[in-house]
Amino acid sequence: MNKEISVVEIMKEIENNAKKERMLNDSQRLNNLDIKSLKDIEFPELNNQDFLISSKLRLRKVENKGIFTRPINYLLRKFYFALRYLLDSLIVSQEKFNIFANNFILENEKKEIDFDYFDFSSEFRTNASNNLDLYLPFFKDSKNALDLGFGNGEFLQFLKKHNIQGQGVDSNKDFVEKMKGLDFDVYEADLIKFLEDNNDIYDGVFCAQVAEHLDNFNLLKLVSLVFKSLKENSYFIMETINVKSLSVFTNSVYKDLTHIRPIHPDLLRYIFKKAGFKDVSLIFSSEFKNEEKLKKVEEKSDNDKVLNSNLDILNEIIFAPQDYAVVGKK
Amino acid sequence: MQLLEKNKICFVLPWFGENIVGGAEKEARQLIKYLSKYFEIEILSTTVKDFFSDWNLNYYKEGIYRELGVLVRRFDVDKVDRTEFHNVNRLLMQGKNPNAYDEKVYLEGIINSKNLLNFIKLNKDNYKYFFFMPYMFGTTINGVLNVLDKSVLIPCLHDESYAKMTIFNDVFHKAFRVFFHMNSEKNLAEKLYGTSPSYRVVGEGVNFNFSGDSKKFYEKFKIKNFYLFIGRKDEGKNISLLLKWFRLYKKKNPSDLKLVLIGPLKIEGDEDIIDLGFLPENEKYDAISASLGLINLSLYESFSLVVLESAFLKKVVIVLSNCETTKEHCLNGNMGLYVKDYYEFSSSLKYLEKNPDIAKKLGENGYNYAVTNFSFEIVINKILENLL
Amino acid sequence: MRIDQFVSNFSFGDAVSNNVRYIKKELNKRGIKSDIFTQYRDQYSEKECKIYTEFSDKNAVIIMHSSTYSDIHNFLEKLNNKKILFYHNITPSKFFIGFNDFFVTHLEKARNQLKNLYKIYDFAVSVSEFNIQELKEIGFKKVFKVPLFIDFNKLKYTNFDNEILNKYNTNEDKLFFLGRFAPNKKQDDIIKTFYIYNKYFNQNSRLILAGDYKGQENYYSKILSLIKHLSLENFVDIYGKISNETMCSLYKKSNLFFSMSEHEGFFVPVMEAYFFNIPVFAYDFGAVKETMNNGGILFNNKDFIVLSEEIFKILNDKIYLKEILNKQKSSLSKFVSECNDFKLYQIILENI
Repeated sequence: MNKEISVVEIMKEIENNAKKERMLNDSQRLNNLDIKSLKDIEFPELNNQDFLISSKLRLRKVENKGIFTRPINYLLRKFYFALRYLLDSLIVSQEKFNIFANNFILENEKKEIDFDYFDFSSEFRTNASNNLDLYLPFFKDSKNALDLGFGNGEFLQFLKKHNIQGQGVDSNKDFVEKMKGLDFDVYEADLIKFLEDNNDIYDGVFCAQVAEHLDNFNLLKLVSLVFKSLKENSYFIMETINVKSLSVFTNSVYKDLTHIRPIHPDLLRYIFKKAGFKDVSLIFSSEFKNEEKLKKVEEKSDNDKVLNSNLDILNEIIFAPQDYAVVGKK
Repeated sequence: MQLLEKNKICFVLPWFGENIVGGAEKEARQLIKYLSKYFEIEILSTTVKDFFSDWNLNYYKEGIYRELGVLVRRFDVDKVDRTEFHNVNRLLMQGKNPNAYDEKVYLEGIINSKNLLNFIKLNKDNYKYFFFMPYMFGTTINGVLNVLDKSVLIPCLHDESYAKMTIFNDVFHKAFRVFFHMNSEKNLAEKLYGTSPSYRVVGEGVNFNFSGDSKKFYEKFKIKNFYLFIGRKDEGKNISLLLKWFRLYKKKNPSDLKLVLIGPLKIEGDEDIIDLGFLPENEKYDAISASLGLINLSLYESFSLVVLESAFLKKVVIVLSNCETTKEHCLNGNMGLYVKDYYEFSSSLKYLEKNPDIAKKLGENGYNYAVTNFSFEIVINKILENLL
Repeated sequence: MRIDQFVSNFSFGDAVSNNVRYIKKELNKRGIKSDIFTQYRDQYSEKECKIYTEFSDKNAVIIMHSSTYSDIHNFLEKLNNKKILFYHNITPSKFFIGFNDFFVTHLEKARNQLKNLYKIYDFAVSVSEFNIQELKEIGFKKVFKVPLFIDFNKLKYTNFDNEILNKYNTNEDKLFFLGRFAPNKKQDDIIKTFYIYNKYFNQNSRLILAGDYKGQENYYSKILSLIKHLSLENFVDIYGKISNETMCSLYKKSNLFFSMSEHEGFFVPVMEAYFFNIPVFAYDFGAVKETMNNGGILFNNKDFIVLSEEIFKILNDKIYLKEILNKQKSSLSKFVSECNDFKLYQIILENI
């Protein structure tokens, strides 16, 4: 059957399609419309509310009726609004200045010295951690670990060896370049700033031979920032030189220009606890070999026994392990 | 249809000639040709050459001529200082609503011939009917008002500023018959001047003796997959709207669809819009046959011959729904689409692309509509019926 | 035992202050002395509270309500009392960029202050999981969820505003949003969606926006400008700060509660809409989803056409609407029953 075509029906279909296209076009146009680009509507009406410049200072508008009331109220409103705007802008400027001044002061507190740490560390023994295996249990389940101040990268290499994903941060450009060249995920940044600006959550943080380079303010800040950036039930390990071993005072403590002061293990443990860490424990490492310590004598007499026990005490004080690490769990 | 006795009728036209360009002029020549079967026809005209020439110049000498098989009486044109007329006319052309002053100036300056009017007054009884066309010239205005009960007005009315002059209230009401081409034209007259029993819709005759050869067109111009526009490329035909819509359509729907323009006045084309300028009639018809269809977005048409020519060649048309005349063709003939904004325009092009068989059917409908309603035989019959 | 409350701003009619009042009432019922200390208060609330510097009891347990920057935190830090933080969420400053610089700085300050609060307070409570998560992220180890107090009696026993009832006694589709005019509430997105809905789905529709614009005059002015730009003046009604009667009347007469807010700590209007039995159609962000608790309809994608289609469906498909309202009713009754036991008190007892 040859159905007669009706132009009226065809136009209905065309009108429908046109409507859809029009609607899509409108929708796109609205999507691209940023209301900030629109012109302001004339000074919005402020109704009958009292106008507050600040909630401490409340100015009432004139209530009495009279031929001057309306113009006076109008002028008052304009005045209040202008004044408030002025004060608000002053406050904003003040805030901005405060922030600027703060930053300026912080920047200038940190005085730069011309000390090539990279060169220095290659000259001297850099207290490389041979003790990394001790720390493995705390990182074995990590999927996203962080090495703060990775230096020569021993810990990062260690993580890689055990197939653990990790990032590294160091403020020394040369260390960063070296590790970047070896294809590690590393960043050049001030450690504190990195933790402040970064929103990542890590499930294991390692920080070795850094604490003695931080002043008190920054040390406390670092520990607390690390706490925030940790996932629950993961660990933060901070390794540093052990002041309870006198040997370090003849060796590491004063050999590095950038050392500020060493930290006593009890103190660092306390800092960890105060920052919120649980199960805070100590691990000692970098022990002296027996041949390096004071040698005991053959015990032939009572004097020998006394001598040997004194030697034990001396060995404990002088040749205690050179490093310790505080382990804290979030 | 019984033959009327061969009475004498005359056509009163401001100018006359075989080659005069213009819709009304061409229509007059056709009517004369076909009506001469039923009447003895004389032409009354002025000595002015045509619309574009100097109206103060007697191009012809006053006298009797024989042209196109009919007797032509040319009368001296009234010479008038038309400075003020041109000022007023310029504003009227831009669409200004005429006030009393405008009307006065217009009536004083519009082409007129005292001699012609005198002849009519003296010889009124010798003719059965006086046909006047188109509406806005002095020959028509004064002529109708002088022969009232014998006047047949073929106004070719448009919705323009001239039509709003108060003089036409008289002219349209006092004429014996007013013949309109389309219902939309009659509706316009009713809107402007009120209804009248003398209003009749007779249509307009079209000589459907042409054909188009699409292969010839392609051989010469190497263009295919295009829609066609035919007409003067000015605002009267809404050319800038067409170009705007087509360009926007191409931007949003890339393809190799093109728009071809034919007619006087050249415009800047681009890779999608090709202006072929003015072409002879046979090439014009070839173009129509080679096209996907005709697009006519003009707002003011009293008949739109070009739409019917396209319909006769079985091509679909796209027109503006705001133009009553072209919309009437589409609806009555079930032969075209009428759009109101860019989105309907775009939607129509997409529809026709998706449904080429329907486009073909609409074209065929157009053919039937054209020959059934607008062949000269039909139109002349209607005229004769309505003269009784 | 004393349990005293601190709050930065104490005034009439805002959600935080009402919560403070509710807690005080419930504590008093259980024979516990409790006062309210504040820094800024309005004229209507002067008698109910004291200025925070007057506080001196060394043994009182302290609840501090926080929703903005406050000097009170610094004041409390120095005290040795047991302290609890009741967190009411701080809007992120990013929304106000370009609208109100003062607010941007102010909210940044508030957020910065928030970062250190876990050191001052023994534990924290809040009214949504969304808030709780934020608290955990800034370092609180002990956090608890308590239901937000909403006074349903005020909704139940209120007189209606007859003018409003008459005005909206029409068969128009009435979309309603109640919330401060502020960039995070996204009234501009609501208006844009409504433009599409009104133009292409149902011209016989109306958008009602009610909320205080004080402090956000800039954003409010842009909203007015947007309405004018889209020629919607005849279809959008704006109300400023409204009375309880007006609010209830608007809820009663509306057909849909529509929200595109991009930050909510709890979103009280959801419960109010549930109470007045109108469907809720809201953008899924923050605490919105958990507050809606399976009732109403959530959406993730701000495609104006898709949203309009859904609104049309909700308002015209009777069966669909009935389903939505039924789920809302059950969410509401769950909430009300939670609301009624004063959980906060138990938490305090167990953790102090």
